[in-house]
Amino acid sequence: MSVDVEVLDPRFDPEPAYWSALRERAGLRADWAWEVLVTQAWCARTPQPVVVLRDGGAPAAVVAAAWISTHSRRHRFVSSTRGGRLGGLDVRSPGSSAVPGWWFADADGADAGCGRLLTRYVPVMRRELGAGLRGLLVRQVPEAGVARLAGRFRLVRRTEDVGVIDTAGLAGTEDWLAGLGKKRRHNLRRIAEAVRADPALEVAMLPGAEVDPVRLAALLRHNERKHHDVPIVPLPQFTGYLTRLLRQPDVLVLRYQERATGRLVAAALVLDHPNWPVVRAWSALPVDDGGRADLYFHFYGETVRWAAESGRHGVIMGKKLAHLKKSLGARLVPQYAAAIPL
Amino acid sequence: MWTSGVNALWRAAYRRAVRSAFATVPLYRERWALGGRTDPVVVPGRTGTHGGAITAEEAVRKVVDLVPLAGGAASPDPARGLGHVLPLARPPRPGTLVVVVDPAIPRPPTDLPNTLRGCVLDPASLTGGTRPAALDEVVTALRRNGNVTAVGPDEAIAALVAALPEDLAHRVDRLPHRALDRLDGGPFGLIHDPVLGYLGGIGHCGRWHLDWPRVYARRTTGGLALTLLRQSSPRLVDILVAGGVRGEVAPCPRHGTPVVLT
Repeated sequence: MSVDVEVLDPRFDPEPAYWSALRERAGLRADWAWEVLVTQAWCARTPQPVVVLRDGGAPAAVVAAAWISTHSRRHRFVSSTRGGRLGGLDVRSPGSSAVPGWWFADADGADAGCGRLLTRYVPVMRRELGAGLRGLLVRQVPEAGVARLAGRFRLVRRTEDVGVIDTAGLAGTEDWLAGLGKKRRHNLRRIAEAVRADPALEVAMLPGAEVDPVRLAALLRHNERKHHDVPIVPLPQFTGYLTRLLRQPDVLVLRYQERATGRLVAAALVLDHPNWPVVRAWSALPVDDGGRADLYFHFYGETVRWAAESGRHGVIMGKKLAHLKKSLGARLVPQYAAAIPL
Repeated sequence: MWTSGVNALWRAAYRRAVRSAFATVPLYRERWALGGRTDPVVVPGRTGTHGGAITAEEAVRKVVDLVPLAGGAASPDPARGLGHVLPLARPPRPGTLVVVVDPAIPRPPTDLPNTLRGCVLDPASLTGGTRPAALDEVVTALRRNGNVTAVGPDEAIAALVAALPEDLAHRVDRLPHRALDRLDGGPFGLIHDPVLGYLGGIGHCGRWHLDWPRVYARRTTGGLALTLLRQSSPRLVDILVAGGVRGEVAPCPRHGTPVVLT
């Protein structure tokens, strides 16, 4: 059985001929579309190697990572092809902190592919990057993979849980509301009624291509400014990135817009998936700047309604505000991060 | 002097601005990496459209991406640069009151020298019922034999002068705004753009000088592209102003510094 490897740099490498088929087979969302990866790789602080392992000629695994080295700078885009000689790999999904950044065709449920990261991915990157590869940070590790990644001198820590709302079997929002606490249910109904009664506000779930990426980028900055409580502040979503992301057919936007002015009041960006779409981002104008109160709660109802009506198994709502998400019917899925010296 | 001194310094400052913008400013990063640019080329083989320049309208629309990764202001200052171009176009005496009469400039300039005082006056307020306080200050300054320089579009300056007592109106020094595509024969004037601010003015020689330590201009297929060399945020590099103005940049035969010929 022959195994070959491609280490791709989206900045310089053309889209592989098999990429669309690989995305579909692996269930990779729109943030893995090649043109989106290209924009992201150019507008990143570090090189973003994408590794494809082929088995008998066909792609059998894909892993996305960031090569964080001594050359990386907080306020500067990546400045060279290689990006430094000494550093570590941060294995994570290119566009979402709620799902893993790897897929192995032959992964079983026992370790969720974490073992293969060590046995198949690490040797490839060691050959590619040399002895300067000193560590591996694996994020969005599910509980099943913890035992495989734990070990001497390795650090495995629980990170924020991911909220998931199951919508399989729900006929609509009423079924979802029925499962919530009485106060929360009453509150959500009141908010839904207020939004419905607001003649100035238009709410619609739209294909991404129908939304102006520049206005969406400006709106998303409001939310991104709130999340500077982490050691490495993520880069905002730039207009060029959103332009390419929104034109993917599997991207949706829940848009709250003023009818008269066309002003974007709030929006949720959804990366669609046949079973498990991911809410990539949410943002709303502050009330002081003309925004509406409580739209965050309304967006849950709309998202659940859309997911239930379109037959999705559920919606991955992402990290942060775990208790609030739980009160809105989300189950909290534990996530871990593993730091592994190499 | 042009070839050996000013031009070399000027170009070096511009190349630094381009390198810095490509390394730290999202809009230029994405635009030049994927599309390309010229003079200098940043990704081999990619030369882009209009040499990588963007229109002022696009810059305003995408201003959130003109803020460098380190952060900074997210809105252009239309009064930027006034303090630097005033000595070039009409050197004010110490104590001069500089009145900016332009509805598009809501805030007073921040870069006037300490010897000058600046204020803004919305021309629409001159015809309203309430007399603006700034107008009283202008009258007071003129009655005390002080100097007042009015800066703005012709019609706005005319409105200010018309609102003054007849015996004082002639004592106001006028410095009219001129867009890059409307440069005239002077004798006084400032090159102004609502996005980039003040870019230059007519010098003693009667030519339209650029504020070259702070503003760079180069020819592209889309017209003259202007760069603010010292503004950190929003970073404005290779902006096609006034819809793209055909013209050239040449050395002033008298001063050796860059002038605009349109």
